[in-house]
Amino acid sequence: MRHEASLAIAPPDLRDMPEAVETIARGTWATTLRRLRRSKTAIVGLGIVLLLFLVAALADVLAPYSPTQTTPASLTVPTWQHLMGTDLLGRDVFSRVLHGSRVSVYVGVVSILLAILVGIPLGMVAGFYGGRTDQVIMRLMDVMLAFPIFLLAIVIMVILEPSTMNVVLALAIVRIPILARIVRGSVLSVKEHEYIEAVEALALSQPRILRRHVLPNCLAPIIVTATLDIGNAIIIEASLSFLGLGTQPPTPTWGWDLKQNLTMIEINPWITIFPGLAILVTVLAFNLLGDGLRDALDPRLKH
Amino acid sequence: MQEYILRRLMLVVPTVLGVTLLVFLMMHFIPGDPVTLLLGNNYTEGTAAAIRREYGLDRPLHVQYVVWLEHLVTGDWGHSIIANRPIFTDLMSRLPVTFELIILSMGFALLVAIPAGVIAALRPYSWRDYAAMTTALVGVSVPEFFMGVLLILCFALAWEVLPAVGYVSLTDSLWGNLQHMILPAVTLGLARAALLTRLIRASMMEVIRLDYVTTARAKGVREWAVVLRHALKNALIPTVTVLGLQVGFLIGGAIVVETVFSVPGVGSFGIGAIALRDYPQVQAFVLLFALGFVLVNLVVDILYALLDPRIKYGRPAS
Repeated sequence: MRHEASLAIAPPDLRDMPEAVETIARGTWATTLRRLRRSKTAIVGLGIVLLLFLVAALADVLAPYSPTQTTPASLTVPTWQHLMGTDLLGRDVFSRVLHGSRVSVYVGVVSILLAILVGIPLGMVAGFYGGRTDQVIMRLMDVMLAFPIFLLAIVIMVILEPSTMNVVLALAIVRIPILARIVRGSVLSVKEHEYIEAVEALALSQPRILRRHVLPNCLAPIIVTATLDIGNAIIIEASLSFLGLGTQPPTPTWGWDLKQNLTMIEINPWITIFPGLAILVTVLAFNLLGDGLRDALDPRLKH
Repeated sequence: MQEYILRRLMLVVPTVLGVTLLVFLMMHFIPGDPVTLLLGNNYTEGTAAAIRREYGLDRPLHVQYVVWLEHLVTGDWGHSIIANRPIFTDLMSRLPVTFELIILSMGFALLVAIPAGVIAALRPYSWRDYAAMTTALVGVSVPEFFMGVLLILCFALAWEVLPAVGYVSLTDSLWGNLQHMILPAVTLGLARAALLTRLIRASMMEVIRLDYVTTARAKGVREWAVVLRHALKNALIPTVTVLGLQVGFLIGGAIVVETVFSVPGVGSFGIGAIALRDYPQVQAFVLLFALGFVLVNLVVDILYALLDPRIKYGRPAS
């Protein structure tokens, strides 16, 4: 019932405060979108990312052959029939690369979403309630951060049997500490602001404070980090597959395909190059998008 | 500053304990009975019971943890179940190789990143800047194993100037060692070089605007001295803070790079152990790398304390 209309007509009622903050926040989003549209890097990145999603979704339709269909034409160079050549078992590399995008997109996006789903509440609880809870949660996060990320991912994959789902889990787990830290930092900085005291004095419930005031504040760094993290996750997934610790054959995945074709590199270098290029272009796209988002959301540019 | 260093040193103890605890538990999280894992193909009921008693596996978990820690400290890092050799000696013979690889990679990364970042920052938005930044962006988007493959294709197969795989120890031949280490070190260092270039450029651009740089110029200090002695020194401080993290990436990347180039370091040791399911070896490999990372972070933090004048001279009494 209390909306922006009443804000314009009458002096803001103290009970309208949450809505008022929200209106200001919405204004910021509009500026962000405008800046994003002007950033060429973000547009290019977004374009490639959307293309990637399309390819992953339509791989069955776009691929000229089945990715697991073996033929006697092994290790051929790129021709019009096989745009990227064939591997040792005569499988069409172009089709395998197209299908490989599925694993990469799935693992990259889902692992980060999972990390956000767990990391945000964790960081919020730690930052908001402080004290013992904060100590316990942050100590656990610190121990996890004491391991190099790739090493931690390898350890998790050794414990869990290699499979696509477990890779998603592993990548989510290694991302949670950093996300929790970011959120906790945002919460702590918001807590400093006096309007939180005012809102608390109005006896709004704590979950509501968390949702309405704290959450929008940390959304910006989360979005930037998450986008860049997807690119990172794809690299780690490819590296794990390269080492045989990821998605198992015969499912096409860029990392493992590159590893397999590597043994034949002196006979046919092309079939190692194309899966690698696929990874490069994909990660580059997410990095471009992330960079563009960071520039658009950077508060220092807001003057 | 002493207070900062002391506090930082004390933080190492719980961190190391936490790391060792996690690695210890890792062995127990692996599906299957640890005795079955230990014995592998030699499993029989009788041997299993004997092993359980001998290794104290029938005792409560926290007792096992303390016993395991005692063994670690005395240099007993277990025995490989495949080769039945003490793991510690194997690890220590491979450690110098990985250490050399990481040092060379970091050196290469800094050698590239500092000049590139500074040049880009001094002429922002010029073609030099865009060239450097684009290359850097591509550099962070390339997985290490693909970079290694590309370098092998270029330098080992197409032009045949460098060897693709293998290793020659420093004591045997300095030149041979370097020849075999160039490609792995460049592969590992390029991604770090890319990231550091971006960081140094951003940091340098901030510092160069600050008042004390203008003051130095106004005093008549020559431009190169302004850039190098006044601006760069302070611009590098944020770089030091991420140095620890970068070495972490180098450690992780070393695992892949050693596999690609068949370098006999700790990384390839670990991957071999994983493939053979030699879990005591896997545990030792993880522990070594994790503890190494903790040590590196400690050194970096102390280095930072020595460099940042705000910490070095303490905060003024308020």
